[in-house]
Amino acid sequence: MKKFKHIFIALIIGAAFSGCDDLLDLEPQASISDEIALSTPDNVETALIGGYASLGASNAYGGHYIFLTDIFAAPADEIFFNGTFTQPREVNAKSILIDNSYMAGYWSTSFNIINRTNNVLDALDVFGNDTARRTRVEAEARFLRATAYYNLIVAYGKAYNDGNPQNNPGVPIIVTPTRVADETLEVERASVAEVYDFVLSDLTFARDNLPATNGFLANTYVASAMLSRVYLSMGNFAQAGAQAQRIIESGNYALFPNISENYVRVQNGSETIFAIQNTETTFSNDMAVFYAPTSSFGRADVQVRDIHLENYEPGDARAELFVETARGRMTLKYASLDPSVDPRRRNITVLRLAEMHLIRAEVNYRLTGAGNPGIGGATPEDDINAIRARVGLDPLPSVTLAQVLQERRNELMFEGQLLNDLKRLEGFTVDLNDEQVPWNSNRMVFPIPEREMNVNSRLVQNDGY
Amino acid sequence: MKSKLYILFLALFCLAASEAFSQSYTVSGTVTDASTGEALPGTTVTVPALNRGGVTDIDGNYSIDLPAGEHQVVVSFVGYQRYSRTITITDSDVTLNIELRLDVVGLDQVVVVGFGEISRRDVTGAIASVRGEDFQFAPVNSVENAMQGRTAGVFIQQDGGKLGQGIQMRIRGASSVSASNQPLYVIDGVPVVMDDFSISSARTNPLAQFNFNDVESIQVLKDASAAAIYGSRAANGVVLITTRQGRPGRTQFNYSFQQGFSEPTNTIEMMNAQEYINYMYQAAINGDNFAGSTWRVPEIEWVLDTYSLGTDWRRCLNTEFGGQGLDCPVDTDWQSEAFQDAGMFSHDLSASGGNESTRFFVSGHYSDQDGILINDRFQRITARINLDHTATERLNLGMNLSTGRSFHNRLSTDNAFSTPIQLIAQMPVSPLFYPEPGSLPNYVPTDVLNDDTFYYNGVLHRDFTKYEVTTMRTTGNFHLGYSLRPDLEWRSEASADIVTGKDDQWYSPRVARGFATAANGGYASVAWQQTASYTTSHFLTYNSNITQNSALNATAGLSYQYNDYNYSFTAGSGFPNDSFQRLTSAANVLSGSTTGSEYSFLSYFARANYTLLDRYLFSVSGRVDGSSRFGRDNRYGFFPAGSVGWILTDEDFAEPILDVLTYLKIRTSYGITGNAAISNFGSLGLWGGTSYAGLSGTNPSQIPNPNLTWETTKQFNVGFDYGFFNNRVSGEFDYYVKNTEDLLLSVQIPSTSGFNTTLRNVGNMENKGWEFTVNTINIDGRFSWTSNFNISSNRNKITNLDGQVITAGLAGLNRAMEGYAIGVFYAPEFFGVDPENGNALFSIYEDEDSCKNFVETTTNFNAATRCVIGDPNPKFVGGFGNTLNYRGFDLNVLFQFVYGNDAYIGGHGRWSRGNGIFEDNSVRDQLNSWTPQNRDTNVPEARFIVTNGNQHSSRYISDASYLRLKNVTLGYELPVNRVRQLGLNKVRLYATGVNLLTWTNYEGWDPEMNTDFLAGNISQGTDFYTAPQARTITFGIDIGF
Repeated sequence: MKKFKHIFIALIIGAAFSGCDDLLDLEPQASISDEIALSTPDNVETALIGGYASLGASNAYGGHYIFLTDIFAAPADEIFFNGTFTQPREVNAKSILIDNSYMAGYWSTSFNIINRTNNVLDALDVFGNDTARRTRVEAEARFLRATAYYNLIVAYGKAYNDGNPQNNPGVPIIVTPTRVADETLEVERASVAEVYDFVLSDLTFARDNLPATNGFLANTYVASAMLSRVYLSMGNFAQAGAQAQRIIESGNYALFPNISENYVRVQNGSETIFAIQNTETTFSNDMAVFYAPTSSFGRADVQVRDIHLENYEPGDARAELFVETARGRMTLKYASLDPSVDPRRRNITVLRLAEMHLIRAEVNYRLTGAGNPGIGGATPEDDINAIRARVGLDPLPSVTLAQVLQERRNELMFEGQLLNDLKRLEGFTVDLNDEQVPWNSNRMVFPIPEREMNVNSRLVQNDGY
Repeated sequence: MKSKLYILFLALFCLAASEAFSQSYTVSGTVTDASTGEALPGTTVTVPALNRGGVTDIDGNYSIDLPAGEHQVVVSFVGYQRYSRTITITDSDVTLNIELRLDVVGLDQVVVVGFGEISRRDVTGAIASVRGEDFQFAPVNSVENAMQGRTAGVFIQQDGGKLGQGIQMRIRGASSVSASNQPLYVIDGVPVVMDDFSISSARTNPLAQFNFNDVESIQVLKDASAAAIYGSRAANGVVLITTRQGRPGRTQFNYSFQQGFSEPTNTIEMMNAQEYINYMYQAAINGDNFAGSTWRVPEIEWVLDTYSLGTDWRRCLNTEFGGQGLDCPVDTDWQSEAFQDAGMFSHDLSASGGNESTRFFVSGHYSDQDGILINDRFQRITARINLDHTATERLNLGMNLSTGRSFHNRLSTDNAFSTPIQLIAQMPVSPLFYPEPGSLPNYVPTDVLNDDTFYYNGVLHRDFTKYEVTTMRTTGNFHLGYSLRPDLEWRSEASADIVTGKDDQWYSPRVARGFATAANGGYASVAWQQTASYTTSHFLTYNSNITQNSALNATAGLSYQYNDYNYSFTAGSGFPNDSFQRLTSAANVLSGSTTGSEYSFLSYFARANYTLLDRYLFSVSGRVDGSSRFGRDNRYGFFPAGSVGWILTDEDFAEPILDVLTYLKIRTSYGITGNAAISNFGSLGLWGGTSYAGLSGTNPSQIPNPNLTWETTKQFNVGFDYGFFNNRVSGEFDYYVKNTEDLLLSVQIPSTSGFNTTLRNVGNMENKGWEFTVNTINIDGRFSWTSNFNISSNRNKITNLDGQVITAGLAGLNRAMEGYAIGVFYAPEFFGVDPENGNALFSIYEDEDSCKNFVETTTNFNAATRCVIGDPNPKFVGGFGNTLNYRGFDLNVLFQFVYGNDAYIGGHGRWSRGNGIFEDNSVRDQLNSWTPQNRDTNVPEARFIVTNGNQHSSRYISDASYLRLKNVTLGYELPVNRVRQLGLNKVRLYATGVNLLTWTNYEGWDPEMNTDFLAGNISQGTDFYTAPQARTITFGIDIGF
């Protein structure tokens, strides 16, 4: 009826004869104010869901955390980005320009997650005496924040094992929500080590305070799995193994009988530890967009060259996860041969049990050697052969480190682990000119986005840009 | 505010002046057209000194009672020169028959201004006028198209050659970086809704429903003195459109029909299949040689094998590459598939007339126009009734009501593979249709469109999609005037402008490659949007001669506007088959949402014009604007302006030179206007809604800024109006300086905050320029020839942006940065080609930004200096119109020009002049690429999948200046006596051509463009597969009865 008053006054009476000022007091219909947004426990939980939504954005796990880091680290003669978009082309060529808009997107979306979670963490007092709920919300928020920071440091910082992480610049650490736009927003980069410490602190809190089950949202094992990954990046094998062990021994998870069940899923399954949930109506999935063939809603932009197939042993079911198309060979991890399935509307697996077995295998190999029981009483061969059996390969009586790592690469290909593995394993990749690019090359670190350099005088650019 | 207003009312009442007469005599006569001798009903005959006057009746007769003495009688009528004569009444009635001369150059025209009208003689601001009849029945898409080239200081540019697309109008340059730069449009006193309902990233033209054939006149208010009465929405200028009114007299019917066709103004010469195959093959060899690899040749062979669909492309490979060097079996000219045979026709019927108490104008319009691109079509149907009724001597009332509906078959945005123009990227070895399998390796086409092209085959979109936009606009304005005293009139206006749009889209699974979501049984969406704007204004006008030698015209009032916007959207997929295209048949609903927004303005305004001795002119005006858009503490702004003018030629000392310099008025103005065209709730800290996996969420969406307010533009204007040789040569000159402060800026902030931008009032921008018009009567008499020429120059410069750089456009190439014009192109400079090896070279300079002090060249693009490499803002714009009449023939020729602007060819420039890095077909000029035998070239060596000069650089900048034969109309009006025998008043046959010829060095299709998916304040002058303008030729007939 309020609307009617405005129309009536506008048409009939004329403003002269009414109280004038309140005619200018209009409220938005699709937005709410800061005060309302964080005013009640339910509202704060709703804001927390906003953090998950941002984590699933196409610049984060909805795409670039996985897709961009993979085509960056992958040898260009093996995994070739052949699309029209210049941003991923530059990334695949390992010749990134500082104004590449994907660099700015990855950066800003990560900090968007961080600001959303900082808003939640700043408003915890509304829970009052409900400490259980308060602690769970805090733990989820800190899991989201740590996950964003980990993905930032992998991309924009030098590797933990590259020189002195105390001195190498990381990314700015922000712990308060943004309420006003002033010069305090210009924050300098913390060191690589400081960022890792911050991530560990958040994830440890999350692991210790999250429930064992929490639907498809973060639970304590999700935090452990992420923590395991982070420790692996830091070369802390004992902790990486311990976290992986915690998940395996929980008995809550089991490998799918068939490897392909991991992909293009509608819901989490027994092997899924954490996945971005896409729905028919709300979805972001840049892997499906770029990897999938045109017959499966994709742009068919990433060609898997013959040389890649040489990685697989004969009979490996994972070598069947490809499809030959007019645009070249495409991976099926984000595509379907069923034209009625739109893979963009399917979940994106972030963490799954097989990775935990692979981490435990690598850790046990490094700490106790081939054939010896290590963490969890398992030998490296136990874990590796569990993975091999599932894809129809014969068990290996005794494994080498190279075999463990090859198994890891074959299993987790296109799942966002290539960049981290390239750097921590100190290998090399290949650019478009068939030249080798070593793991610690300046080219293998994303540039700080040009727009950030322009607006924040306290930032220093990465070497080589 | 209210008390101030009452004081103003009292002030106006107190100025009452009346005199009583002792003995009066009658002055009477007939007012006729000097050339035709026809009576002119509805003409106002006044004696200004006594505030007396009358209006002529149907037969042109008038009479006024006057006392004895000397009296100046003044007669003015729209379209005629002002008549002024001093008569002496001694002791009897006087007969004064008056002949009015057509006012070809418009010195004495009545000019519509905000909340009133004024004689052009008394104008002290900068106002450009266009008469509706100058562009009536022009075969163009909208009123802005029709105005192109006709007004000084106004730069009009269409986004591209698609119908109904956005048009940019800049009056005296852009005055804002983040807020709108479009002017305020006011039609018959109603500030009309200019919401763009497009749900794609390409904007549409909100005025496309408006039937410009109804236009009587358009006034463009350019300086602060003219525009300040529109306050916080006037900084970009104001376009006042007045529609036709009826005149007392016999009802005049007019019917007009025209029919014609359109074609592109230009096409681009692409390689044919043979050239393409050999160019790419050589590029693969070069690429392998350069990279030391061996895979590129097999790769290109595989590519050609794949996309030639089994036809024998090797036949046309040159013998040096192991082929036969014969003709290709497939040689598709993909560009020609983007265009269609485009027809158009229109019908217009109008009637006008009435008597002394009631006047009317009614009209109906129907037109159907095909665009030059496949599937582009725009239909419009409109109706209007303008009614004016004099109820009593004191009371008059009326209404203008128009309703229109447009139906628009839209196309994909320029960046979509499915947009027709992108077809030029397809390989010419790809057949349009699948080949008959038995015919291979020769090509015999089937009738099934090839869906295995390198890029999605956009021709499929023509047959298997629907993108229909229906827009309806109803504008109604009721007005009531009451004469409180002869010199004081109260006027109230109430109006509603309601625009409703439906965006209806459907995609068959057949187009899944071009529109992936359609793969699962097709996709359809529908969006409904409505904006309703309600405005009321009430104002008093005082118009009187205070003394014999001075006159005052004053207006004061208030207005309130409330604007309400609603939006709903639904989409679904999974249709049984292509015959089901409505969402009711969709198996899955993919999304549904509704939203809305509103704003209001509350305003008080006043203006006074004072004329002393008919030659010293003074004007002050001001407006107080409050808006819901601004923070509560900063809600009202005051926008004053003042101006003075002096008509030198009315001075006694000018008497001796009047034969040469007939008319000279100098004038100057200064004032403040605002720009409030920002988002409705820009000052609030906001959270929006989101969702994750079916759980609802919220997220911070905007940082609060309670101080947010309008932009302020301070404008100084000085100019003169001149007339030589009895006004055979006349015109205007204006110089202005416009300084905008407190720019509403979407300021980039560190995105570590979780936000990318925040809205602030920082920054300054300057526009300086001049405008010059000259109107001449070259030959008068039986053969007549008149010309009008206008040229204007505007220099835009951002003087302060708080140190920041705002990027926009394709790959962020357009910039807003301090010290430069808005939208300059910023990238490395392409130096040329290394004659030794064919490498692309870029320049390194000592000074960044300006690219001064050349150091050396580099092949390393990252090492090249980035700087301003072009400016999309024109240095000069203008037009040159000619009208020739001889017996029944009339010829109108209008040239239009834009000079000194650069464009960036980001689409086919970069992709089809990319040195064979991509599989796209290339422009034929790339055959001049570097080879060991062809070293003196600026086209780098072609290298397949090797970057060699295709980066964004000055290489793709092109001069977009042009001179265009915009409009030519040749008409023949049948002799009146012949026509009368048929029972008609008028029969005119005519032919019109639009965009007939274009002279330009531009290396794309057409220099008038700005790619639709990016077009904005900063993103200008970018060509990204942007369709050329249409060249249209029509033939028509115009019948009056």
